[in-house]
Amino acid sequence: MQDPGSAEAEPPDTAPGDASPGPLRADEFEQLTADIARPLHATALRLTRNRADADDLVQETLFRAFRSLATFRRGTKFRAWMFRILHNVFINRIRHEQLAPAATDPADIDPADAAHPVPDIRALGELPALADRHFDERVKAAVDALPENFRAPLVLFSVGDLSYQEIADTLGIPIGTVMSRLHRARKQLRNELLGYAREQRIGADDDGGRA
Amino acid sequence: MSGCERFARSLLAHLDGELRGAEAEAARAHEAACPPCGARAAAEREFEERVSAALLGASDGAADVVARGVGRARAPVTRLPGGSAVAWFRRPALRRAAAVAAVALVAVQAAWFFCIPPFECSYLQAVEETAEGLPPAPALATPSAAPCIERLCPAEALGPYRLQRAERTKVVVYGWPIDAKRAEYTGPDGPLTVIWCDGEVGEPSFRRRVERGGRTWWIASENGRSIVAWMCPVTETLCTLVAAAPEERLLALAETVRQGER
Repeated sequence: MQDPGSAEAEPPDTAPGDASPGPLRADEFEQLTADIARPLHATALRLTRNRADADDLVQETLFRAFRSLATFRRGTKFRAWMFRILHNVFINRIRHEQLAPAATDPADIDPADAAHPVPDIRALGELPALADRHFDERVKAAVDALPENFRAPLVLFSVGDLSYQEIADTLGIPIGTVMSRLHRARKQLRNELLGYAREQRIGADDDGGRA
Repeated sequence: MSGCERFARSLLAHLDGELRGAEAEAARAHEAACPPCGARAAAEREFEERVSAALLGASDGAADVVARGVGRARAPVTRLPGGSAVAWFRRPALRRAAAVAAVALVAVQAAWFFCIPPFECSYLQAVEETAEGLPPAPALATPSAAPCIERLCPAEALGPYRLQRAERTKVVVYGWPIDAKRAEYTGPDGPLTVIWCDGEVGEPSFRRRVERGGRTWWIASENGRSIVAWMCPVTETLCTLVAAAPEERLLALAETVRQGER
C-alpha cells in the first residue's frame, strides 16, 4: 500500500534521471526488475491464475521490456512501465486464445457505488495471523473468482502498488472506471471473506459446543 | 453529512493515497481526532496489507523467475519464452538483410528482363539457336522444288539472297517450344534465316527498338550477326530475320518479307 503521506514523493523505483542520460542500461534494468520481482510475479499469477502461465507471462514481459528499453524515459516510474507491458502481454495472450473479456461491461459504471461504501472490514472480526494459509488461500480464491475487469485493477493496486492514474494508463480506461471497478472488486472480495469469517466462527462454535 | 460520514465515504481513497490537497488534509485530521474513525482506518489499513501479503505470498521463487527472464532477455535469443517466435522483421539485422536481398532480387530481375549482361534475351537466344541449328546450306544451290510450308510460301529470292530450303521447326523460349517455320537463304554475306513463329511469344526482349515506316522493329546484334524482329500484321505472331549483314540492309529485307506476308 502507498503511504498517503508520500503520494507526491518520487517513488523509490523511479529510474535514474539526469545523472545517467540515454536509455536504461542492462545492469540498471536487471536491478530495477529485481526490486519488483515479487509484485510483478504475483500480479502475473493473479491475472493468469496459473503458476506456469504466470512464469511465462513474466518472462515474456521481461523480454519485451528489455527489447523496448529505448522507449523507456528516464525519470518516469519503471514499475508502472513494467506493469503496463505485463498487462499488454497478458491481454495479447488472452486475445490470442480468444478469451478476451468484454471491452465494456455495463456493470462498470454504477453511480450507486459512491453512495454504498464497502462493508466495514471490522465485521470480519480479528484478522487471521499472517501465516494463516487458509485465509491466504481464501483471499487468492476470492480474487481469482473476480471477473477479469475487476481483478486486474485490484491486483495492480494491491500487488502492483500502482496509483489509480497508473492503473488507468495501464488498462487504457478512464480513471473513473478504475475507481468504480476497484470499488466493486473490493466489495466482492470483502463479501467473500465475510462469508469465510462466518464459516470459521460457526466452526469454532461447533467445536466449543462439542467440547 | 457529519464528519464521520464524510470520512467513511472517502476512507478508501484516503487510505489509497488518492486524496489531494484540502480533502487529504481533512481526512488526516479527522482520522487523528476521531478515535472510532481512526480505529476503522487502522483496521482497513491492516486488512489491505493482509490482502496484499496474501497475494504476494504466492510468489515464492519470483526472484528466480525474474532473474531467469532477465538472463534470457539479455541473451541473443530467437524465440520467446513460451515458444512464440520472435517476428524476424522485428530484428534489425534480419530486416536489413531482407531489404538488401529484396533490392538485389529486383535488380537481378530487371537485368534479366532488360537483357543486361550477363543475362541474355531468351528470345534472342532461342532465335540464334534456331538459326544455328540449320545444316550448312550449299552455296547458291538450286532452290527447293516445293518451298511452301502449309500456306506460307517464302519468296524464292530476297534481294541477292536465294532460297535454299523451308521447313517446320521449333523455337524454344524459356524452355517452352513454339511451333515455327523457317526459311534459309544464301547470299553474298552468307546464310540468311527467316523464322515465323506460329504461337504467340509476345514482344521480343531485345535491347533496341526502332520505329520506322510507322511500324516497330526490334534489333539486336549478337555474335557478328544482326537480328531483326517484327510482329506479323496478319497472324500477330513474331517474325525474325537473322543474317551477318549490316542492320540497314537487314531492315530493308525485313520490310520486303513483311510485305510478302500479306
